[in-house]
Amino acid sequence: MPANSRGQFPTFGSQTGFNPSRLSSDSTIVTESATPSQSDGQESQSPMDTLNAPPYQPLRYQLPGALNALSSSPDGEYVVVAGREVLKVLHVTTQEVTEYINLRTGSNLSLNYSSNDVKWGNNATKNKIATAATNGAIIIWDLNKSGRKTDRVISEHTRAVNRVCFQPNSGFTLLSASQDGNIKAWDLRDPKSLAKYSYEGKSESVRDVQFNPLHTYEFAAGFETGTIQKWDMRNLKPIYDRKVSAHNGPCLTVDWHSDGRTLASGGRDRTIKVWDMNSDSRKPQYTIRTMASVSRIQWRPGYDNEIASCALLSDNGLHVWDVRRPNIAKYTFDEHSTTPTGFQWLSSDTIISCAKDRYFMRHDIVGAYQPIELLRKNGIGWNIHGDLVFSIDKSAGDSFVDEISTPGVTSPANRKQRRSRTSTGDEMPLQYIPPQTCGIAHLPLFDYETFSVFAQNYVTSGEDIKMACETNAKIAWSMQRFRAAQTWKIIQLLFADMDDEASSSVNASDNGYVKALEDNTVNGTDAASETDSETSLRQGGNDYKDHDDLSSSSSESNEISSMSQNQEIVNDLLSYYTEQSDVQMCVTLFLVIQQHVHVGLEQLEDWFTSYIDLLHRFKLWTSATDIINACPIEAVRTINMNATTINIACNNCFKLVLSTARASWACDKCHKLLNPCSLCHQTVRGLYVWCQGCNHGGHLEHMRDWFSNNSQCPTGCGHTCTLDMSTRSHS
Amino acid sequence: MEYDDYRYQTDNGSESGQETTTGHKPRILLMGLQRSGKSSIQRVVFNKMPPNDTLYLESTTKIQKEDVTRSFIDFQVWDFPGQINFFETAYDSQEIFGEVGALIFVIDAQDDYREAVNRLHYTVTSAYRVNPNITFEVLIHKVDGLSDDYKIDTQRDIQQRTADALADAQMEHIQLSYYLTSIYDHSIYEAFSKIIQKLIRELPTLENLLNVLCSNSGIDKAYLFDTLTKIYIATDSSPVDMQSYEICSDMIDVIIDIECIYGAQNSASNGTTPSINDVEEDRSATLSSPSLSVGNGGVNGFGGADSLQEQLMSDTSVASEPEAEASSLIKLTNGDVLYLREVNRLLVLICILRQESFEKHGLIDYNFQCFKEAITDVFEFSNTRNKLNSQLADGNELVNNTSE
Repeated sequence: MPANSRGQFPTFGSQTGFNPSRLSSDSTIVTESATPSQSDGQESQSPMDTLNAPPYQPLRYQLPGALNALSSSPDGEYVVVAGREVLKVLHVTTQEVTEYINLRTGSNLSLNYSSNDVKWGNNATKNKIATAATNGAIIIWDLNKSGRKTDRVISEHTRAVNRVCFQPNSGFTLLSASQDGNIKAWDLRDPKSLAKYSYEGKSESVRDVQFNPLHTYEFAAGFETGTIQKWDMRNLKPIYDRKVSAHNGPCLTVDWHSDGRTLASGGRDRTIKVWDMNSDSRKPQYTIRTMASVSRIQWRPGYDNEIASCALLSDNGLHVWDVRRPNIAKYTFDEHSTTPTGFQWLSSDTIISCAKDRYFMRHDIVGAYQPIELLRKNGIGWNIHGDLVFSIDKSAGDSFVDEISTPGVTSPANRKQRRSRTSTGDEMPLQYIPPQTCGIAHLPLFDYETFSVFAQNYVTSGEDIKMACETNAKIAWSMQRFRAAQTWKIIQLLFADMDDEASSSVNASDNGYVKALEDNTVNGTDAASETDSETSLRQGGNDYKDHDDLSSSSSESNEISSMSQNQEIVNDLLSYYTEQSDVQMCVTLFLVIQQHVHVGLEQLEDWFTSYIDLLHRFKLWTSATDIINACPIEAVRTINMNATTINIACNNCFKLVLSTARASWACDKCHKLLNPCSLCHQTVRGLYVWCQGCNHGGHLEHMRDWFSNNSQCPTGCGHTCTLDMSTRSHS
Repeated sequence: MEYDDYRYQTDNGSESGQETTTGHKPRILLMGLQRSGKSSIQRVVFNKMPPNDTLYLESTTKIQKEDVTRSFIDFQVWDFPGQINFFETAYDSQEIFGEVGALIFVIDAQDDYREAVNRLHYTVTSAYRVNPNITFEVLIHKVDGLSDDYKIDTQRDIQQRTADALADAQMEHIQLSYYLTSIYDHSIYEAFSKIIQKLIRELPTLENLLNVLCSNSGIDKAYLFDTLTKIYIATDSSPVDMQSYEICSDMIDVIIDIECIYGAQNSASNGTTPSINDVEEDRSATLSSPSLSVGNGGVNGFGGADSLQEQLMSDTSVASEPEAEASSLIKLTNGDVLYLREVNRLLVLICILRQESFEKHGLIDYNFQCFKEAITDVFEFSNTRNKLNSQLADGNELVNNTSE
């Protein structure tokens, strides 16, 4: 059994559904955190600690309108949140959130202020904020200005501006990505409202744009067509440096890794993809499949391989993924009641987010739950022959990804690997596969052979109990099922001939003693493993006792010889076999003596359905049909009556004739007539007679005429049909 | 909204169109190899043919021209036979490609597409030489049944081959857009929506209007649909999510179906009698509907629409209007509301909003009225401008004629 190639845990029969309900989802509104947040990088907590710790509550702050985006000041103390009706600067500490400035005070309801995106400047522009509006306006706000803070309104884009971005080092250059397909660069030192550069992606709307954090003259943009482009501002030609067709459907967000060469992108096709922008590879390094369209992503600072994402619709969670383990999120924050629209890492352990539910939140990684903790890590399943397959999680400790076996995006090992791979072609696994042990064990708990022999040969009719019991006992004896044989004998004694002497019954039960012993020894030697022989020994012990009871009670019963006494014994028998989970015996026993015993309908239905199910599993259709027909319960009998389809195969090419139901007379595949008469070559409607030897045939009349004079097949196939000629009708 | 009203006049010859405004009407050319699905696309999108019936379409032998003139959509679709090379000297390529707005090249993704890619390269370069203003759209078609990985691989491969070929021909500045489509789902409608949006000059204005409407009414997403083709001619600037698009376009189907059964007769539309209203209100009660199975995949994302509440009402308050506007409301179990309003006989506005926002029903209706007036203004303006342009062009032609 090879390890699951996608690194997921095998889930055979057992359901390992993902349960997104939080351990502690007490969502009261608090403006101060219950526990002081720990931002000292201590993040690998054992699940026990998380359970015992008081439930962590994120900081919440409610705003008067739905929020679209947020951005923190360079020092992380202030956060600006923006929405259609809101533009506020909040003061955020570890304890509480307070409003600092409301930038919309006194401003009328101008469309310029309904913001799609907001960014806080840096360095030279650390007191400035840029907002992008749906009508194409970009507004620069200056927090140092007294009175109205509006510094400048740029309205050069003809359609909505989707994203703005400050150049990381200087802070003077602002990039804007617009629905009109243009990316424009603005120099904020120049008060004239004209774009310094305009980059036309020659693609549809630009959804996201971001500066490279290391090489600040480079930027990447994500487009509605699903492509991402890398541009170099030093290049004066109006053409991109590199273009990757990344997503199937629009690309909605891009984010540079801090190493300056790795770029992540997210799109409507529900994937996050990681690209090496320096290589020529057209395939992503990593692909993470999420549950919904990805609207924003950001790498986790301080953790090279972790990336946070939020959805566009239908998923309210904020997920942190490890690129090396793409099938399950490492952390999930599930606090918002609608989809988060914007988020940002404040530090490597703190994340701030906003959503249309009007809440601004500050989360700590301690407050996130780990979806992996909710998953079952071991799987088990078996087939009908008693083979058991299992897989056991072997990952050591609590580490989400083994750092040694799977180097990350930027680890020096991976860099070296990447370089060496080009020369040697040696592949190192990029994806973490949790170590597992898989195995198959054969447990001889169920004897298929005996079961099928019994199923096919047992007499199930109750018309002649004596005969039925005798045959069944013989069959059981020949299959070395001595206990079953004994049972049949006892039943025979009880029901077939109640006037029989008690001595024979005693003899029989004495035999039972001996045979039971034999049975045990046989079982013991046959058993493959030690544990199995133990269980069979234990069973043997039970058998002894049971037989003891049985024999004594049966001898008693013969003395009293009353119907009710028989009923009691049979009940004991049946419950014994039920406990042994031998439904075959239960059902057959019941069918043979059903005139004399009463069994609860529910119990009966249980036996029958499980026995029929077993028969179906072993493909013993005929036996199953017999049992179904013999069953006294209406519900079971109707199984045979629904959805029985009979299909006809073409007698020339042996393909299924699809239009059987509509009485087609020709095969769809080979276009030959179905069942033509060998003599007149017409389709036979009505009685068709054919030779079982050569499969040729035709109209009954024609065949009779032909074979009255000839002995060979009329088609000339050379088969001598007359000896085996059997005239069966086929409609 | 009577279904028959929407049947286009299909004029087989281009002569009749020529007389009116064909000279300035953008063309959409459907090209590609034989059996790649051009006619199927044209029939499914513009003639409402059920996708399964396209199996029986005969192969096209001559150029099929069809005028599509409705409100903002105003162009001509030319369906080309795949087996003929129209760049041969026997054909007047200037005549064919001179006025083209968009050239759609269809590639069968389930087939070996190398030949198609060669043909695409040839078509693009030849057409570009004739008319450099054409926008080239490539439909990687018949992707139903392909796995997601295979789809993106195919797209990447086709894109790369074409880009390499164009680069070799020194024409890498030609911009091609690629779409993965299938007639069995909504992807073909979405692709056509995007293609057609590029041809609509008023798009930025419409988008802005929708943005304003959305932000002032608390609407999450709004689409302006062309009723018959289910093409959205504009939407607000937030990203289009496939689920929301699918559910909205399914809603149109539901509304049209109900309209066909219960709607007022078109001849009697000027007198919206109270009796009709009664009937419609009765229906809203009877149709709280498990029978309305809206959507297939899209609905699931919205939390299941098994308890859709359907209300169709006739808005009689605008008595001055000769036709009553249809409107419809579907509440989804996840708390979202789908709200449809008819803008005019050809356009409907469908909004998705949260239940909380929908409490301000009056505000939304008022905003909608403003929006509708604005749309009408834009439409009238563009109409007069078109007329002016055509007059100008006619004038130019006259001048040319006299000079000759």
